[in-house]
Amino acid sequence: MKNFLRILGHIEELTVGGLLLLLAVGTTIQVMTRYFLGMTFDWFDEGSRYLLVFVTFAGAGMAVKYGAHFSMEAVTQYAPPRIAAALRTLAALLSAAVMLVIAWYGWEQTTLLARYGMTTASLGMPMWVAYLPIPVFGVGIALRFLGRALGQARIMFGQTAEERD
Amino acid sequence: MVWFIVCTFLGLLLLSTPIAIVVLATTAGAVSIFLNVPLTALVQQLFRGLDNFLLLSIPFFILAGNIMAEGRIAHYLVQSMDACVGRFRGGLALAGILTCMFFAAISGSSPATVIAVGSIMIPALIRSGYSEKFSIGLITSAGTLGILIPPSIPMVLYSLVGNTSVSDMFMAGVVPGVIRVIIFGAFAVYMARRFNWGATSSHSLGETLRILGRASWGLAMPLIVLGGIYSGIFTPTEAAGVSVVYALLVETFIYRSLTWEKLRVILVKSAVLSSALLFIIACAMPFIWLLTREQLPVQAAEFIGAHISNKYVFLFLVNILLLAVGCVMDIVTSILVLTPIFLPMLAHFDIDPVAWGIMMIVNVEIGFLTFPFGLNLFVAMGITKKPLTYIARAVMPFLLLLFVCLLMVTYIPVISTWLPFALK
Repeated sequence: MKNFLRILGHIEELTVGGLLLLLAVGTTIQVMTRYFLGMTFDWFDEGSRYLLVFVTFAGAGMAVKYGAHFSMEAVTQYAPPRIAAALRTLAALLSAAVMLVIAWYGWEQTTLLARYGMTTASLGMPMWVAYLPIPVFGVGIALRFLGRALGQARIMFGQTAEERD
Repeated sequence: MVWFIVCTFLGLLLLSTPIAIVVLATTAGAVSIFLNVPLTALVQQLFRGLDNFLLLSIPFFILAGNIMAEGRIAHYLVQSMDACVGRFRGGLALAGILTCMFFAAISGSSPATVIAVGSIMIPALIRSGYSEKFSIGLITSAGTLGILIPPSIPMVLYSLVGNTSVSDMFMAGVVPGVIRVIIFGAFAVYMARRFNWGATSSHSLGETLRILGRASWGLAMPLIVLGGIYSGIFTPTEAAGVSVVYALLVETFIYRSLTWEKLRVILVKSAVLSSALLFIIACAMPFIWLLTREQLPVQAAEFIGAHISNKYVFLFLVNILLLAVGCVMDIVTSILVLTPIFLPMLAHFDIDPVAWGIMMIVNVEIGFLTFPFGLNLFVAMGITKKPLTYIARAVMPFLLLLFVCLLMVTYIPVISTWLPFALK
């Protein structure tokens, strides 16, 4: 299970990073073809915007794992370790709850779009596909926040190194 | 509703909740309690916030900056600046500032500039006899040029919510940036002469040319990026994409510095930072939508207009507020949240949005350097392994110089607006 999660994590990282690189290469090719051949591709502009939604929500989960989300540590930095851990647990639980709410309504919005059969302007792709990253990765982000809450709760209830000595 | 927003926002912020979630939760709470709107509207705003080609420039600028910092481009830039101005006393410090300026012109971020230039330049300065504190303070603060000299990620964000053109904002940063370089440079040379710091390096003309030649791939980059934007060959977003590909090609085929492992690290690092930024932007959009829908900024503008009639007093108070916010909050959120609130007041006081934008950017720069959350301080801490308080003290003299620059761009707006209008 642990190995499986680690491999999944690697795939996630390389997909998101690779997509960014791919988008940069695509943008450059677009500039070249426009300048030298006078050709533009409307679908690239549209596709890259929807991929950006995918990258953001997929990457936001990774950012939880790396603790890269910006937060204000004014209180937690100077509070005693256990109180700080308690505050962080609460913050992570709240974050998980908020993301679950967003995922829920994101799913509602996605199914709504699927029912109406809306498609995107130039790719003709079903619109719900573009929205799908919000509910799917929304749940993923919530799970990562839960994991973080668990880790902080352990610090809160567990003994610190100094107490053991 | 205003009280609900303020209390929830501050409460969650103090808990150390990620700022993106703070904004999102506040909006979701306010919408479900006070408005008769389903929360799916929130999801639509979340999606629409990201559905913008301009935003793609942010991960591109981050990626390009990381490639150049991990590779050899930054390294050769430092060498070439030293070869040019290192021959007289104070020259190495000047070379440090100029490298920051050059690196700023190819990357859009302030911490990236400190990492790229600082990790080479700070040890070099100390080795050549400069005081350690001065060296750390100098490069940590000169790194903030990264967001004033175009391209600049915070400027992209400001244009996004402030309805100004990115190209105008980019151009507006050039003159204030050059003024900053001159002020910092004069101070550095004065200090070096007074305390007799720094050996002088002398390169022969042939050697200088050889070093410049090797660095030319990096030196050409600002020309390509900015030249491309202003000659209309590509948009700012496309310029960012091109600079990624250019940096990648140069590092791979000319300097041969990239390995697969290095590339993997660069990609993951860039992806994580980009998503953290983009996620805040996505979450801020529903909040801005809520503010606008309820006309809160307009009400705030009317309130302030009724109480403050003098433009200069207004500007002064706003700067105090921005500095206070900059001390406790990250820059992306403060730009995204504060810009829409202030926008209606600009028309009231007849303030140019571009000049205002530059004023905000300089405030943000100061925020990068103030204890206890200045991002540049943490980056410098990572490079130098010195305590945070030491670095905070080291940047103090430069902070004072930055305050002078802030006063200049606030009260002499033509510094910012001259170049973009001259080019039209």
